[in-house]
Amino acid sequence: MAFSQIDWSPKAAAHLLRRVAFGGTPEEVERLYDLGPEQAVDRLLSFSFLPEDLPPPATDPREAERRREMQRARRQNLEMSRKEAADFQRSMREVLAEMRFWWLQRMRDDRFAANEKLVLFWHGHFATSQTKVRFNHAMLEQNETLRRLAMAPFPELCAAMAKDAAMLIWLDGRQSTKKAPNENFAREVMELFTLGEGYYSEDDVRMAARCFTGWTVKMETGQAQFVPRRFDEGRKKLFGKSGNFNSDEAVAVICGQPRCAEFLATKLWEFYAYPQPAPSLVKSLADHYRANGMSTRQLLPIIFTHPEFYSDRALASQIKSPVQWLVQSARELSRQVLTPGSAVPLLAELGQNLFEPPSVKGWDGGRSWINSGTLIRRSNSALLLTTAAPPLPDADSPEQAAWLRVVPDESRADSSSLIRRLEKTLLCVSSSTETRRRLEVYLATRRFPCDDETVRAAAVILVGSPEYNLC
Amino acid sequence: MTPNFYTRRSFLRTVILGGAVAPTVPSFVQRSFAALEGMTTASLAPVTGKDDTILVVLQLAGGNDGLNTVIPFADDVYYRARPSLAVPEKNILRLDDYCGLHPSLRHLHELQRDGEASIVQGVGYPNPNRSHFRATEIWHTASDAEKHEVYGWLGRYCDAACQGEDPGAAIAIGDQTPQALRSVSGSAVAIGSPQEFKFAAGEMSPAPMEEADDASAPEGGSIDMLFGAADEGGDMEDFLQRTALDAVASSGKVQDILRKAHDDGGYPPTDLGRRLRLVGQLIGGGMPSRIYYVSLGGFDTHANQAGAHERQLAVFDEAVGAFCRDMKAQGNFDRVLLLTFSEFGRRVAQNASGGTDHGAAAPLFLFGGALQGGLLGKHPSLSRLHRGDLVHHTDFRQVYATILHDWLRTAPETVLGRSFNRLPLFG
Repeated sequence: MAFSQIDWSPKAAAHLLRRVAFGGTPEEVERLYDLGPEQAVDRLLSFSFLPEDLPPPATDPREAERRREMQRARRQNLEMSRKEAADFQRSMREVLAEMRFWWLQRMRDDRFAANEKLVLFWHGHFATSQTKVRFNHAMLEQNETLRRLAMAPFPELCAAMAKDAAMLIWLDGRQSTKKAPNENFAREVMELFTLGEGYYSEDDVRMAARCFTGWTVKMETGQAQFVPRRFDEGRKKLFGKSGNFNSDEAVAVICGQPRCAEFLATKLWEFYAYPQPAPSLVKSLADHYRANGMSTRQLLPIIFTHPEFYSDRALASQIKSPVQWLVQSARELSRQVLTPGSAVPLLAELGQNLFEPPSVKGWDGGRSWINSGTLIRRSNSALLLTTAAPPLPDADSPEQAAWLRVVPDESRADSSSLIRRLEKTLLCVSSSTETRRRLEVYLATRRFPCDDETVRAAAVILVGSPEYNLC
Repeated sequence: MTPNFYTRRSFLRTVILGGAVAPTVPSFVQRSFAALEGMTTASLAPVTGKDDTILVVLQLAGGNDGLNTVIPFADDVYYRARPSLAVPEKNILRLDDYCGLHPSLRHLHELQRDGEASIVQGVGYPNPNRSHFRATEIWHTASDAEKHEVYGWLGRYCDAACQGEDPGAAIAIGDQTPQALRSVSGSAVAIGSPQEFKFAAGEMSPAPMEEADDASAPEGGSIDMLFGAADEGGDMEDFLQRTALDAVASSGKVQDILRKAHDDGGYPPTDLGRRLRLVGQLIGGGMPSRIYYVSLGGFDTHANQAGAHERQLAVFDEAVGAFCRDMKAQGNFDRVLLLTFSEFGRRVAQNASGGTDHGAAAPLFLFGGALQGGLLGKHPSLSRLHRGDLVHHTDFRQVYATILHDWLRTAPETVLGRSFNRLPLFG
């Protein structure tokens, strides 16, 4: 293994924690550093779903059916239908907000963080939006499936998605029949989920569409179901192979294409490390992926212990996604992830509304997160993140305890030790000349050892700086 | 950055970093812009200009069904291919004896009648791609179907026509900067909602801040902390610092204009209506941008198309109608050109889900007082199809080339890489 080549340092451990999960305090980084790279990665990737003390919000399996009833009532102009429909819409919006906040809390929780980061990756990969699905229950079930199979062999996850209720609604599979196969899912599964453009033909799209027929959604219950008479049981030729392929078998054929491992390995590397990895690197990752049945659990340690993962090209090279920006700030500042009322609309404004990716391609990420509008909003939210987010409720005076965790007493003696500690906690690069100047101008007027108010104000300056958006 | 890039942006940086820290945003931005006004004749020849022509691009995202937009009602093939989706002839808004507009497009029909709209038929490109993303990329970058290009055609226009980096030469209304505006110089600005497009300095004094309400109070999250030396650190950091600088410059200008803007009540209460109203306000307020970019989604009608498409077309029609009225009322209709496009049309035959799948050639609309108006080119044949798709006869880059040459007054070859035959769009 290549461990010897990693320049393992607290800085590297902090990088690992930010990228694999959502960062943490310098103390958490220190503990990770003490483990060494191999054990640190193992620790981050090992988690159990139990004890389950963060249960998902309750969703209504009859939501779609009720929506249909509402529409019928509205058409017939039934008494009360307008108010009832409005109440229904509102309660569905509230449930959706709860789902979003619940997921953010899971990301914030260090027991789940690494797995949730991967779930976020899969959500962007099998990007499904509630705007068309309009079925909270199905959206949440998909999210739970992504969670359960996040680290599983990819073909298993992909096969589950092909039969997922939300996906069947999203890409029109539920309307696809033997008589009229719909090509929407068949095309996207190859273009965006497994192979990429140029690695399949229009014939493959048509054939795969036939393989995926038969699966539909029982809208009364929100469950996917197989209806044999809708299935095209005839022979199909897919990537040179012939058979009476069904959905699972088609996924197996597609995932068996050599390109699939490369496509996924590249995408995972780009999500965690940096864009456009060298072909040799992709090849070694893909070989490993393939050799282990495309188990993502087996691939991730290879990525996270690769010297390239700690290279200059990787360190501090990413722009935080809005979700990363929000959750990481909560972890660094020892606070909760805002409140449902503030976190959910803020993320929507910043361009990453969970359960609502802009298209089936997911979020573009990288520089596209940042433009003049979103940068202003991030900067303007510095005060919100440091003040409106409730402190962790695990101490007698939670507010004081939170600021003491951000800057302990020994770092409050003078201006320079305060700055050093805050930079270590909040930034992955040194502060820019201007940010530093701003800090110094402000701190020159404060008394030392400094109080919580000084710490908070200095933190606001750093969290509102352009460089805070680097990860 | 080359040394002769002494630009608006680097000028701003000098002013800001060299000067005193301003207490509030607007006055600071006002000062720097006031200083800029005095320099425009020197080395700066910005692409922006108060009285120059303006291009507004509206993308109908998802692949608008061109065949149910400009409808060849005189061709039986249309009715045979679309048993449940075809629009009855009596409802169609006639353009000539062969084709007409979808009944949702009332305002467009009037504009067309008055010679203020041009419809270019059969627009596409060789080897059309049926992927939304790839097809969108092709339209945004004006590349050949086989080539990949990073920068957008309008971004390249800004690069070619700007002497330096000019924040706000192009404005995207929305949370994302579309690829069409992506440029080397990064001159595009994105505005999600105008209320949010400003720094909160001076307004950030909720309860916790009041405790520190003395001379040493931090201007938390405030504007002036946003500047850093752009040449420090890596690529991404440089990008962040530059964007921060642009944000400061353009947000002040935008806020200033919107403060003075009158509220034109004529726009429909849709997202598109609001976005076009914002464009109208910025144009009316003298924002010196040449390019605006707006998008309307919801055209990917694979299933149950009829009602959804009718509604989306109505949203499109009402917002465009209101925008054209607004431009006329402002007296700006002759210097504004609105171009609409979609990444592809849809197949001629409907599918079994009562929808249509991804196709190829489609018509494209232009609106503006300077246009010649009318229908350009023939409707593509419904009988001579390529794999079930309409065949294009006009390359979309002919439209781009015409706009670049006749409207934005730039050599199209420098932006498109080669020459395309231009179309007789303008009088």
